[in-house]
Amino acid sequence: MNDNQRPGGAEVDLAHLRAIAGHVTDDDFERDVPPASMWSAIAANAGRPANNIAVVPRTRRRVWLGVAAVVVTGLGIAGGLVVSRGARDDVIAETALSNEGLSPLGSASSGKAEIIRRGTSYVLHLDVSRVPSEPASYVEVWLIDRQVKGMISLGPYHGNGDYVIPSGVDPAKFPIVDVSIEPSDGVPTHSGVSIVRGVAAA
Amino acid sequence: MTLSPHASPAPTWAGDALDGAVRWSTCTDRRYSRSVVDDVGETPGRSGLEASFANGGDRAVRLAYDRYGSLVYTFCRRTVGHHDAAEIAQDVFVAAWRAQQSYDPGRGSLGGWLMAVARNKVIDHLRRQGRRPLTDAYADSASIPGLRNDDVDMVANRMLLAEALGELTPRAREVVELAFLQDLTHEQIAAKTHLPLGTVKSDVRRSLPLLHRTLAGLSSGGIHE
Repeated sequence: MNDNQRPGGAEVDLAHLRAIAGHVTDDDFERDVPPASMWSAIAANAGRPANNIAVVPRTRRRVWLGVAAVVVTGLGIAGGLVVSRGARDDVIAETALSNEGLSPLGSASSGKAEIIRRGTSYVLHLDVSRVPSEPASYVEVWLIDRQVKGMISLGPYHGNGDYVIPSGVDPAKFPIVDVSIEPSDGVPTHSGVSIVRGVAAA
Repeated sequence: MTLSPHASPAPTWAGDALDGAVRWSTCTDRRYSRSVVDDVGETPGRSGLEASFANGGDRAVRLAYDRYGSLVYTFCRRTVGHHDAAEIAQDVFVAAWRAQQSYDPGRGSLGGWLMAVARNKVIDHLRRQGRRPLTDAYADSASIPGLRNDDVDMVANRMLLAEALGELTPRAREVVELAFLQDLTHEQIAAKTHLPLGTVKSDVRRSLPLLHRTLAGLSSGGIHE
């Protein structure tokens, strides 16, 4: 290929990029979750008040996720179905979303969720009906791990559709799909008020 | 080799692991990924954070931690091991906090700047301990005498490149991979992907500066303490 056909421009050191790209492995995309105490330690060592920063939880409230719903396996799990939407858009896991045992605020809610591989990234496709609206609250979408310890927020519910799963997050490690009502109190933790939930499976 | 984060192996949906009753008792309140979600892709979030970081006060540092904390921590874990990773990563953000106003977005990415700080911390740490980094070649030989800074640099560069690739759209990432790994021309990429030639050129034109800028942050040198 001629130089003037090569991707890139004069401002980019292509040789440098190529040299690095040639050594990149899958491991380089993996990310570990820092210890939960790290931010507090950083703030303390920096002599700064961690709890006065808006995006930091002001209270470390203990989260109880639907105490009544103790058994995940009771939820509707669609198994064995892999729906092809084309070579670059595949449903790799899915689940029905149920309110069973969860907050009565979502007693009329139900739906389904799909984990979709789109090229080399993943999205959660969400379809929930009768999403409740509570004053001074919003609805939030989560992926949670099997131990119910690690949680990934996919952000506020913005209607049925796709929710981007952050790059570096392996959706297989966070198979529980959860939709919750969160008070607009600035506390960025799960409220424990879930309206629907399911466990995505292939 | 692949530049795709999940290309192989495919995620294992361990339904068997969920056969037993998973108790919904308590869970942690970890929410580290929130701002990462907000900033996926080439959204204003990334550039906005970089533009405002130096004078953004405590909140900007927290946002930087939300976005790059896992990157820095993972880098530390890979180079110094689990035992010391948290301490080194903490030192990185403490130093970044104290030197916040020295970050110049004109010299490169914020992620690269933080990784430069991390690289320096890691090298100092390893030098004090008289051992090599736990990079791929030395994963099982943490006590080998001597230190090769280029190993640490390479890991930092690779992780930053992966970080930048992760910010591209899947389409742009594929185009970049074909350009870099298979050395294809724009026309060949267009033919292979069935994308319009103009789209290929546009993806390349927009993607490469992002990759370059991300790595340039590392070259900026971080903080001189």
